[in-house]
Amino acid sequence: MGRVIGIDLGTTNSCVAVLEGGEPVVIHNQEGGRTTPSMVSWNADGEVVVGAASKRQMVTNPQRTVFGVKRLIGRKASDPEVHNLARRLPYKLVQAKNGDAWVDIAGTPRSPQEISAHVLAKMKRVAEDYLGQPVTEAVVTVPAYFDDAQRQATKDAGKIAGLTVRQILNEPTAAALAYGLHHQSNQRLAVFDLGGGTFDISILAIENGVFEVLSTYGDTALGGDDFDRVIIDLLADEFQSTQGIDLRGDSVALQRLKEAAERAKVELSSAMTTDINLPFIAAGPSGPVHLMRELQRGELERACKVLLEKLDGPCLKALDEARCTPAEIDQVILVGGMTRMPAVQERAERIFGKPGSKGVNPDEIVAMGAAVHSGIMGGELQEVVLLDVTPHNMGVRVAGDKMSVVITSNTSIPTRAKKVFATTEDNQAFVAIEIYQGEHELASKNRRIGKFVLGDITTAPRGRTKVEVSFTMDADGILEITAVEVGTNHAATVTIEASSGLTQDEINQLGHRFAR
Amino acid sequence: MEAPEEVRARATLNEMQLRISQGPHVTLGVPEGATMEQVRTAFLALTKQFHPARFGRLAIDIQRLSNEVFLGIKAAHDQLAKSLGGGKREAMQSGGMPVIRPEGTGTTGQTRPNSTGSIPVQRTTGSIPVQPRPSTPPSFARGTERPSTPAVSRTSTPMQPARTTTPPLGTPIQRPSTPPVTGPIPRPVTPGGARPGTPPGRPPVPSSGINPDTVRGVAPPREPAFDERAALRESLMQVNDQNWAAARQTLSTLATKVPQSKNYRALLGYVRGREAQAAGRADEAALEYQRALELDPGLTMAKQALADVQRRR
Repeated sequence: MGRVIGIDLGTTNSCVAVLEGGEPVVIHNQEGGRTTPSMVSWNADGEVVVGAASKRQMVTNPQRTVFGVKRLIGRKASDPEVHNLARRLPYKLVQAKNGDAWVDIAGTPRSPQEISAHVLAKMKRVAEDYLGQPVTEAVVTVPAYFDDAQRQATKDAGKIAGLTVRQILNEPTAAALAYGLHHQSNQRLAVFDLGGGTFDISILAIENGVFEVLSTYGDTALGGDDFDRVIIDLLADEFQSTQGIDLRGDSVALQRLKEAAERAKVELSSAMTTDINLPFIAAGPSGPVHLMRELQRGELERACKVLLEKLDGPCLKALDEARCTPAEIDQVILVGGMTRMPAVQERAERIFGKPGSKGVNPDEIVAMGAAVHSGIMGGELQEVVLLDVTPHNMGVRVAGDKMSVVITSNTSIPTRAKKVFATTEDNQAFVAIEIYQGEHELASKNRRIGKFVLGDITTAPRGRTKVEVSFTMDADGILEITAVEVGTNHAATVTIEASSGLTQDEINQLGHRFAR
Repeated sequence: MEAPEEVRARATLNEMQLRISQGPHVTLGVPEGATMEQVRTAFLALTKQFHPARFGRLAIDIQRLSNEVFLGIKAAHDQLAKSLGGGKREAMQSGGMPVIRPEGTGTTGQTRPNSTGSIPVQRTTGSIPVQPRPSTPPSFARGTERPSTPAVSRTSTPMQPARTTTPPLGTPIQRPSTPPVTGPIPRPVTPGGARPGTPPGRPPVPSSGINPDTVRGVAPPREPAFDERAALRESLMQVNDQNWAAARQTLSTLATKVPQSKNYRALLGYVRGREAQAAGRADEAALEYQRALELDPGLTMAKQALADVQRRR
C-alpha cells in the first residue's frame, strides 16, 4: 500500500505533512514554502492557477480569484453567514440547484468542493514530488465545529482531486496528536485553535497513549478575518469623519485597506507600533486623498476587545462539559496564526491560568497531526490512538418543530443511539423523518441534514405503531440510520434524501476532468 | 484476492466478536470482580488495537465490522464502569429531551432479538421521489423516550455466537474455525497448532484454522522479505552520490521498517538536512542536523555539516 499523507486544508493557507520514520515531516511546495495559500484562480484562457501564483494575481484578476472557500463549503446560499460574507467578497456567489452556495467564475458556476479540490490536488502533487511515488490516500483536517454537510463536502473534494480521504480529522485533535507524540505521559490538554475563519477549543486527556477528547466547543464565525475587519472599520470610520468619504463603498480601496489591515495586525504581534500608508486611496473635492497614520498595539487591542471577550464563552463551556477546572489542565496548546497576537495569548493564559506551550508552530502542527494519524491508520504508530467526539447534537424533528436529540454533542464516537417514535395519525402507512444537527431546541433553527421516509408500516390507530430508529455515527462523524418497526421487527423501507452536496455522478465527472 | 492484512484483520475481528458475545468481562479480558482501574486499563489497551482507525484502509466490510466490534468493546466498558460507579463518560446518552410518553418496556443493556432486516441508509444526493400520497405526509409528533442502550447489533454480523459453549470466565476462547490471530489476543497454542518446520519466533501457521474452502487459491499472508542490509547499503551509496532525495526515500523505508533503530532516524535527519541545504534552506538544515545529533551524537557527518552550515551563516 502507498503512503497516506496528512493535509491541513486551511481557510487561508494549507499544509501537507507525511510520516517518516515515525516522525511527522512538513513538505515544501515547489515554490519553497512550507504552507500554500488556499487560493485558486482561473486565467482568461481558462487555465487554473493554485497557491502563491494565484495570490499574486489577486489584484489584477479579483473576480476570478477565489480565497477562503472553506467558509462556503457545505453551506446553503440562504445561510445568514454566507449572506454576510457575500457582501465582502470580490468574486460572485450563486445559488446551486439544491440551494448550496457556489462561486460564479466568468459565467460558470463552480462548487466549493471543486475549488477545494484544486488546492488538495496541489498538495497531493507536492507530496508526490517529495516522496517520488504516487499518492492516493489522505487524512484531511476540518474545524472541530464543522457539521455533517461540511465534512461530507470536504471528503468529496478529496475524491475529485483523486484522493481517498481515509479520515476527516478535527483540527484541534490533530494538533494534540502532534504535540502528544513526544509528551505521552498521562495528562490533560486544552487546544486553543484560532484560525482564519473559526475558533475551536478542545479538552483532551492522554491516558496510556489513548488520546480521548473530553469536549469540544467552537464559534464558526470568529477568526482572523474578523480582527481584520475591526481594523478596516477603525480606519474607514476615522477617514469618513475627517474626509467625509466612505472607503468601504469602493471595491479597490477596500481591497487595499484589507491588505493594509492584515499587514498591520501581523506587524503588531511583534512591534508596539506600525505605520499604515495608503497614498491616493480616494479622490476628494480638492484632489487625491491619502490615508497615513500610525497604529499602536494598544489601539488595536482596545478595538478588538469585543472579539477577545468572545473567546471566553466556548472555553468555559468546554471545561464545564469535560468536568474539569482550569487548574486540572496540564498544557495549553495554541494553534492557528491568530494565536501569535499577544492579546490572544494573554486571554488564553487568563482563562487557563497558564501560558501556551512553547515550541509549537501554530501554522504546521495541524498538518503534522494529520500525518501522525496516517501512521495510526497504517500501523506504524501502534501505541497511540484517538477517541474523538461529535461536536453537535443530532436528532429528529417532532411535533411543534421540537428537536428530539438522539445523539448528544460531545458523545465519544463511534457511537450508536436508539429512540422509539410513534405515529401521530390513524392508519398512518408511512412516516417522514427529518434529521437535524445543532444545539437549538427548535429543529428549524438547526441545520437540516436530510430526510428519510419509512414506508409499509402496520396501519393502526395513532400512537399504536412504533418505530425504533437507530443512529450510528462512525469515527469520521458520518451518520448511518436504520429503522425497525417495534413488535413486528419489520424493517421499514428507508430512503434518504440528502439536503446538500454533490451527487456521485457530479463527483465522478469532475474527478475525470482532474485526472486528465 | 484478499490482501494478507485483510485476512488477518477479519480473523482478529471475528475472534473479538466472539468474546463480546460472552459478556463484558470476557470482552475486556478482566476477572469477575475487577476494579475500575483494571477495567479502564483493559479498555484502553483494546482501544489501541480495535479502534476503527486501525482498519480504515481495509475493505469497506472490514471497516464496518471494526465499527461494530469497537461499539461492543465500548458498551462492555460502559456497562462495567456504570456498575462500578466509576464511569468516566458513558458512550450512549439519552439526552435531556422532554419525555412525552415514556415507553414502559424499555430495558437497558439488551440486544434486540432480531434486527437483521434493518437497512443501512445509503447517503445519496439529489432528490429521491417520495411516492405521492393523497394526504400530506404526517410527521412524528411523539418521540417516546426510552433509555438508549449501547446494544451492539450482534445478529447482523456474520457469526452466531454459541452461547452454550461459554468457557469459564477469563479463559481464552478457543474456536477451531477461525484462523489464529497474530495480534495480542491471548490464545492458547494448541498442541500441533504449529506445523513442524515452522521457524521459531514466527506466528504459527494455521493448521486447523482456516477453512480450506475459503482460502483456496489465496496466497499465504506473507509480506515480501525486507533486506535491511541491502537497503542500508543502497542508502549509503546514494549518500555517496549526494543523491539526497533518493537516499531520504530509502532511509525513510528503513526507519519505518526498523522503528527501534535511532541510527537510521539520525541518518535520515542528516540526509534531510543536506537536502534542505542544497535547496538553500540553511536554517532548516541546521535544525535537521541538530535533531540527527540528538538521536546519534556520534554521527560525525552531521557534526561537520552543522559546523559548515553555521560558519556560512
